[in-house]
Amino acid sequence: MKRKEKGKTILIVDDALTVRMFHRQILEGGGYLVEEASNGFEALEKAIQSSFDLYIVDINMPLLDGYGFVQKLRQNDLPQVPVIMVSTEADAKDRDMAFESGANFYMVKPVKPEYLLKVVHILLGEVIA
Amino acid sequence: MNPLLEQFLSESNELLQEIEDKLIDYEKDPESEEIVNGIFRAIHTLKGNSGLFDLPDLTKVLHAAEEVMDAVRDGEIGYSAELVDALMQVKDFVSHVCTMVASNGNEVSVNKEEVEDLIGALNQFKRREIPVEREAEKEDILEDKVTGIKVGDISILAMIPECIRMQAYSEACKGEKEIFLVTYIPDEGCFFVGDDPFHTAMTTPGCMWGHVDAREPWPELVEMDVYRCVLRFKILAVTTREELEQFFEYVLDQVEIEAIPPLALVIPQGDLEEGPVYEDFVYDALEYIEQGDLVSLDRAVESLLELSNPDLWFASALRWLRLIMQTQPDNVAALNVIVKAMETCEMPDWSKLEVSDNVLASQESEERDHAESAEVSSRFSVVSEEYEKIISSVVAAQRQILSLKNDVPWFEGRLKAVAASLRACFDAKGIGSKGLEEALDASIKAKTGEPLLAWLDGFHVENSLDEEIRSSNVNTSDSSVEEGANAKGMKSSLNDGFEQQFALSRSFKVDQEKVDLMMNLVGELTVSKNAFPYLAERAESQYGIRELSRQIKQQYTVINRITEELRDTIMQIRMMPVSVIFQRFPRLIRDTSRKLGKKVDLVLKGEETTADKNIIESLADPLIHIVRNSLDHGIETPEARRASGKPEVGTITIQVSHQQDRVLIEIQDDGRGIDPAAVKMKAYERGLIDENKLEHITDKEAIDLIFHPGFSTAEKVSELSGRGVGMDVVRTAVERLNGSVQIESKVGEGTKISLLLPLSLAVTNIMIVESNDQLFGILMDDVIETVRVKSSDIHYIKRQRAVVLRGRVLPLVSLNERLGISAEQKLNDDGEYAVLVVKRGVEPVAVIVDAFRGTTDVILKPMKGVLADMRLYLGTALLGDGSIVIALNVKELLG
Amino acid sequence: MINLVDGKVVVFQGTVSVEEAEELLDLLLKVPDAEIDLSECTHIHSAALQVLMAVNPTIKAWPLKEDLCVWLERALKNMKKGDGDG
Repeated sequence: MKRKEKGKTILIVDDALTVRMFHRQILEGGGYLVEEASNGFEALEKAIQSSFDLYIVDINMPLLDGYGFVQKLRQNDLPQVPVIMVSTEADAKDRDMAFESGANFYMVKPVKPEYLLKVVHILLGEVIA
Repeated sequence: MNPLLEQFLSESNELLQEIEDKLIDYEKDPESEEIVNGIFRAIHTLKGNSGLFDLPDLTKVLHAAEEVMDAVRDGEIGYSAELVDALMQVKDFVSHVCTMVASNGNEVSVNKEEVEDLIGALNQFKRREIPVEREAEKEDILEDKVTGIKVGDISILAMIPECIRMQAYSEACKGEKEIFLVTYIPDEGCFFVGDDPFHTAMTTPGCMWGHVDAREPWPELVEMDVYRCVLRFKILAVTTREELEQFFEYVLDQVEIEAIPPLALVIPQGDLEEGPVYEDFVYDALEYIEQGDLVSLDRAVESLLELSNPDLWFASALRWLRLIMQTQPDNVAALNVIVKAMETCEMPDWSKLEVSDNVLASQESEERDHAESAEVSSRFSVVSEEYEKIISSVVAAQRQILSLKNDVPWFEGRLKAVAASLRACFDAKGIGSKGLEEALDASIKAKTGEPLLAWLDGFHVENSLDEEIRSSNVNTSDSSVEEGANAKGMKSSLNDGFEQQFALSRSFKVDQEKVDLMMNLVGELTVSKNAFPYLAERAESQYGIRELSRQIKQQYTVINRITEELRDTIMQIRMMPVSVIFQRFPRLIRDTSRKLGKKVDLVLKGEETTADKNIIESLADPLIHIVRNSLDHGIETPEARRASGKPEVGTITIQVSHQQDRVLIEIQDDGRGIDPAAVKMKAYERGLIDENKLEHITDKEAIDLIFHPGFSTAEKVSELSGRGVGMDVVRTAVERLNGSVQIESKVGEGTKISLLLPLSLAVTNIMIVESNDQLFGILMDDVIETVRVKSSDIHYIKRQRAVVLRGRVLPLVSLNERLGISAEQKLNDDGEYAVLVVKRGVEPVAVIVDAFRGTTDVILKPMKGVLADMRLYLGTALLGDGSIVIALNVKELLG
Repeated sequence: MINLVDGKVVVFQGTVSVEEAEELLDLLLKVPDAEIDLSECTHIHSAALQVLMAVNPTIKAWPLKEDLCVWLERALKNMKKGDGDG
């Protein structure tokens, strides 16, 4: 049993339009509101302007990469909500770096839609049982 | 076209253009980091995007290119014109594939040689030679058996569910049959010669799995030629080549039969992202294989499998390892290959393996296999388990983060995010995260993740247990720690607090209101169900249908049983152990006895006994009162005890037990006991008893006097043989719970106070009586007996009516009179009064009513409005026949 | 054979022959949102199967016949992703 909590907003940070669209489709399918940013810098600006319930962040991006974005986010006086970091690398090194930077979960691209949705449900604390 | 694919193509075009532009810039300015980074990122993005679609060749080429660019970024590879050429070729290749995708959908035929050449060219730039990936190798498997196992189209095999592959594998290992992958591409005009390829494919001998798709994109429906066959079949069959060739005899030209070495089916699948490297296992396993110790290996595999999330790649690999052990125990090379593959979580590289000619098969393996496949598939189907696993891995990730050093400026933010993530996990679980905020604060203050880790380790569980229970959570714990075991199978964390936390998670919090509501509903159900006997009676007496009456009664017994079970279940939910209140006693005894200079041992028995939460909660204060009294006035000083030949240390025993449907609490001390003579005197002084009573009162009755409200006002209570303070308060509290108090005491030996309480408050058993055509309820707990009394047997003693029952004189009152109803009580046909004998404090009283109407379970609803203050009425209840009954407070009625 | 029931459900019964493929296509073109009930179906001729795969309608009920059900589920579920696999 899932309790859908409407109105939760997720910021997708990825420089690849296709990936953003892919993630948007998944998340909107799960009933969430979605906003996008194409690099860490833009994401940080959005994070400061409005509040999000969760971030899904790519690592490799121009201007400010995923690591940099999360580090800055964590240093800001903003609500510290969970960050899921997604990367094409299944390497433990990248994962460690993501955690070091302040991400809370690491997923390898391409993500399986159901898996992503489940992780999102959990990190938004939605009662699942 | 699918909008996502459209997006992919348009973005690819941009990126490809960017790559081309940047490559040209790169030739002009090979030192520019920015340009190199730009190329890398564009390739990286392309690769990531391609992973979203089923374009493995594209992804492979881009991956090789990305690795090269990564090395360029790191300065491992310098600029060269050849490098730019190779990358330009990659660009062209990607561009070509994208064009194909644009026109044909995913239906792209890529020249495998081209892919191979591209990757080969790229790899030449790297220092380390990376072997060409197997999938790219040519598809001539049959001829190539000597050198190793090659798999032509691994992606098709990977589509087949693991349990089917395992079944095929075991079947083939028996030796008589082989595994074949049949590709059947029927002629376009085959329908006209009477072929039904679908039927043919389905009936393929030894068919284990099959797949049908179209070999070209579907046309617009209006243009579709249904009689042109565009189907394509893939069939996995375990049989012999002869049989297959015979079967496809007439269409052999349309069929490709490919023998698959059993090991080619060994394709571990599953989640990699959360898989830790099972290094210990790999190390041990290789050791066992070397020593030929398959028994230990099997044990290690089994135990790790039990601990692992079945969805993990690693668990899949373990299942295959187990199967290989069972079917080819002598194939040490194969065992080695799969174990080594586990080290890196890569596809086992069977090409390194010589095919052993004598593939041994064990006959009994098949059965186990079947059982296992079934097990595997059933495990996959449980959704919530999947959630549990993900939660486990999310929590494990937070643990990892908490263990990191605090040397970064974003440390505090990171802690907060961890706390937020953990809270979410626990919310998702439906269990509280009490104490998390405090742990977070402590972590922030101490600049270390330790307090949060400690919290996760489950310390908070113990610390907050009392309150947790008191805030009424429902603990239906039937979970085992094993079951909650970490899906990641991380050995180190198996026994830590996190598991305990999650073991508890089988229980969940329920708002007490909801449980109460359920209880009320069950109560209503109980009452409604009670309508059936009335109905049955009416069916018979009023309508004369005996059969219907019988059937209603039958049905009633069924509903009755279900209702009772339901009620018991809900009552169980509200049950909590009395130990909750016991927790306060050791401290109380220690402090008080020290203050008084006494030595006391506290013995608690039956702490696990449960009772309804309301009962337990209301019991706390009376119990403390009793125990304090015992300490104060019961237990003597060590000197006095020694003088009377008792052990210096006194003992207070609290024993709780169930007595049928009630809970009995006995508080016993071995103190000086209560002197009835002293109590009598005191009571007389206080005017609680008159001279007459003083002479006739028994010792037991005298001791009971200490529960009298007027008794406890005595200033110097401790002079009164050790009892007295506020015992009336205890009795009031217990009676409010529909319970009773008894006291036994022997001078010099001690005192025992027994509290008998209902297990639950929710349903009340009442006796229904009729008086002046109205129904009244009397708590069954108050009723001693019902009797019939002839009017001639009523005596008058000092103008007070009385009746002699079993040789005892009881005061007799009339209910009407007590209720201020002027009507006389009715006699029955035999000229008898219906008389209810009820408890009133120490002595029973007989109450005349008009008639008895039996007993029943009701839900008492408190009186509302102006009546709420009238203590005479306990409440109202709805009866099965729809009538309302008012329950009377006997104490008030007779007091 | 195939029957249109209630104007919206195409019921497959027993064997659906090659002759019925065209009829099926016409039917599905006429009633684009028709649902398919395969429960009583024992075999579908390849030609009719092609129609089902091309139209990819909503399957209301899968065949009771087990092997047919397994094949059809694999052929008709998740079709959207693409028609071939490389």
